[in-house]
Amino acid sequence: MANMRAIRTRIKSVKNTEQITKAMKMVAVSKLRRTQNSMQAMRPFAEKSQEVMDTLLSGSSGLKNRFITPRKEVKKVCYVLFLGNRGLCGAYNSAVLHYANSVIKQSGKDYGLVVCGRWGKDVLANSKLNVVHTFSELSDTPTVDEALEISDYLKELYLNGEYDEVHLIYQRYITALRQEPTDVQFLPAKPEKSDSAGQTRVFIFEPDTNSVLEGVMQLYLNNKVMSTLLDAKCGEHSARMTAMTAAADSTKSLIAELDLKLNRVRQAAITTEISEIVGGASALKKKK
Amino acid sequence: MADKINFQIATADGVVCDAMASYVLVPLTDGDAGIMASHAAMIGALREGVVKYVIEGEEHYAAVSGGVVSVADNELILLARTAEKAETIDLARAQASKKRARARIDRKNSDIDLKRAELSLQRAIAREKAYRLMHK
Repeated sequence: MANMRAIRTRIKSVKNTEQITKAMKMVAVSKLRRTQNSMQAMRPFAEKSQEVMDTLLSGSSGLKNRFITPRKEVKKVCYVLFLGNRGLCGAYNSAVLHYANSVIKQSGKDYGLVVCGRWGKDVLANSKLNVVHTFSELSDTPTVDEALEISDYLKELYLNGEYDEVHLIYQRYITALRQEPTDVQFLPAKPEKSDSAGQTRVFIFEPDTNSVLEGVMQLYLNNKVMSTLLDAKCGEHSARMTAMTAAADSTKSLIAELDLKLNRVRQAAITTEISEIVGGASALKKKK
Repeated sequence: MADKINFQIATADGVVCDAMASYVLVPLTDGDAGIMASHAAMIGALREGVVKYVIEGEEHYAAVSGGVVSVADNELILLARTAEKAETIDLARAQASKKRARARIDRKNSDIDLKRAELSLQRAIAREKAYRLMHK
């Protein structure tokens, strides 16, 4: 029969775990909200950049840009993985890693990995993937400065000819309960016209279309990194939220189970005690 | 409001400035351009520098680093990589990053590192200039 004290200690420790998971859930909720706020703040900027891009793409021909022109031969590909800063968020991180593995295998080309996020240093070391750089100082609520740092680093890798293509691999945020690992080509870029682009307006380009395009491309690429970072972080926080909710729920059912067990053990102990007393008393009576 | 233009500075961090300005001086790659109300539709490439804008007769400054400016329908939108209003610039920080960039240029590690150092030097100088213009 299980020891009552052991069960009590167990209940206590499960209760502690419950509190921790609840706290982590609350933290994830507030971080998710902050990340979503930055997404909101970015929207007017992203929309305006797209408008300028639309005007450029629809109004002029003969555009040339070092970030758009694809290379003739793709020898080496750089994959950028967006991982979380820590675990305890379900299959979020391992799903990205798994997906990256399959993408790399499918392409079969020479590659290098850039990792954004602190999670899984040892996992990555064991996986024998070729990691060239890790951005481990990223905060849980991404800032523009962090995005600029990553974006500048990637542009440099591409421009100095080390890599002929750069891909971003991250968990696309669909709903709070669903994320999907995605692979997006970052460089060479494929800027697209949005559906709303229709006006044919005459603009003066200062100094010329290609310099403007260079400026827009820089913004476009920075934007892409920033929005990917935000998307990935949103996904991470909501994955953690879901995982922690599930954990808190299961601690509840575990506590109920343990309570029941404790009561049974207590009942059994009382019954034995009573039968011992009754047995003792009747033995005394017989003696008399 | 016929003599004023709707002026906005937007970055990925959000909208830094949104006001009706009577005059805006933007640093383009081939020289500064002064823009007033009813300017012709224009899209220009920005360089690292200081934007001057006049609201209600008062001069304001902001440091911007790269991007594009678009003018259409009496609306001037400045899309920048980063932008700081002169009021929020920390002079000590700007000077420190200027020093760092200078040191990096002096070391001359690689071409690309040099280019980046030069850019960040220009940014720091722009920030300092905006601050000085504001507090002159």
